[in-house]
Amino acid sequence: MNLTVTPGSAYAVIALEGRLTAPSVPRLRSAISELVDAGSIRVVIDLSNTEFVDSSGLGALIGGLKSARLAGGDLRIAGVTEPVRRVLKLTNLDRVLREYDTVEAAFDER
Amino acid sequence: MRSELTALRDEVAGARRLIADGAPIGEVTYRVQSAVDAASRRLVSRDLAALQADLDVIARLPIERDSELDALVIDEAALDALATREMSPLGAVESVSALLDALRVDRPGEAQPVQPMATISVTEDMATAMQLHSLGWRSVYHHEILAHGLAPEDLRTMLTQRLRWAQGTLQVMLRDNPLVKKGLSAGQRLMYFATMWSYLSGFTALVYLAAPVIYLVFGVMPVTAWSVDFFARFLPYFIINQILFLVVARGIKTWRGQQYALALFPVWIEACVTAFANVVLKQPLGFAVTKKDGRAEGGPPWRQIWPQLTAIVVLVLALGIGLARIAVGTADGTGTLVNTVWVVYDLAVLSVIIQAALYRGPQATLTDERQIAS
Repeated sequence: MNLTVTPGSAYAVIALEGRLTAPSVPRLRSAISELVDAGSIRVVIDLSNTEFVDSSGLGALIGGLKSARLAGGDLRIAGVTEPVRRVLKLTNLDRVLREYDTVEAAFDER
Repeated sequence: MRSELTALRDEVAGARRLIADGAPIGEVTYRVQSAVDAASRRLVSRDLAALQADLDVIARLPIERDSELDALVIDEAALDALATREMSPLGAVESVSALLDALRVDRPGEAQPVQPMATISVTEDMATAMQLHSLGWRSVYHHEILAHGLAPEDLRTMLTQRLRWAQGTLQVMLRDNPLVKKGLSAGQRLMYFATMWSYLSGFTALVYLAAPVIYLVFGVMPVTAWSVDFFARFLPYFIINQILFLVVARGIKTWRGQQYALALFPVWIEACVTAFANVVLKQPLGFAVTKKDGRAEGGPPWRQIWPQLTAIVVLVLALGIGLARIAVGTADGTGTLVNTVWVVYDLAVLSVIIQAALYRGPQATLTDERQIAS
């Protein structure tokens, strides 16, 4: 999996390309905690090129949501692909992680 | 993950030893498969437990309460789904997914080169299996449910399905007879031919049903030797037959199968006639489609089972006449006794058709039971 971090003033973007599974989970977790520790507490995960997510990947997303919320920020997901959406629905996590069509739309309301 | 992989490595090493020692491959691969499934479930449930703990922390945060968060519980069904072969976290480890591929029961990579789908019959599955065997493929028993199918839930649908099975099997017998097909072993020839041969039993059933009637009404014996000669031939055959049923069935009840083998005699005869007309006389064979929702419209198909109903009436009448002939002293005691037992057996076998005609499917049966209970 390729992971690209794009810092920004309003929010930071982490783009995930490929399969979000156990081997790539530690990199996502550390990328999120680095951002949050550095004060970038609003994070958008760009899933538009993510082909698949397994239970460990879900864990990393919710773990990221927790650390962002604890720091007073938020983690949002954008550009969800069909296979990933299926897994989110299956676990009811689509009710926790609301999906946004695009990265830009994720923190649009303020 | 690491400890699961270590455990799996030991499991695979153990499996290799078992196979080297001559254990059945089907059992060994099933064991490895189960170990992989169990490891998947443990990994997924650990992930989900951590995830649930995170969600609990998030729910307790005072800010921005998601209204639905409280109600969120990740259930067993989600766990099962996430632990399947396609979704399992173990699939990310290449060596494990290679292992799982090697243990796959289906061989998608072989489908194209083999292209074995036989189209000479309306029971293409059976014809294809025979084709594969003749090409040298071996079949083994595999103890895992890979697909669920729908079965007929009423007699009308079931009769349609059985007719098609019988027609298709007889088509193969006439078009691609296993006795002369190249590449089959002697056992396979016998096995496939026995399947086909069994559908000719509709004609013997006629004799079987008519014989006691003829004796009880007219006093004509079906076999001119009741004596030692007859029983010396009949009893060994009958006893070995029944013992074989017990051995082969391994505790599964075969009575229902015995009942249908005789009670569906009109279906077998119709299948013989139509399959012969199709293969030899080149007449089109109407494809009997089994209804996929399991139930056909309408009540019991009395019109489709008139031969069985007629047989039941005739047998009962014959029994009455036979007993009356004993009463007035014009019949032989032993003969009547034997034939009475025979008729009672026939009636017990044929009764399944009435039971089946009145059956309204598992749904209705469940509803009835609930009504009785409440």
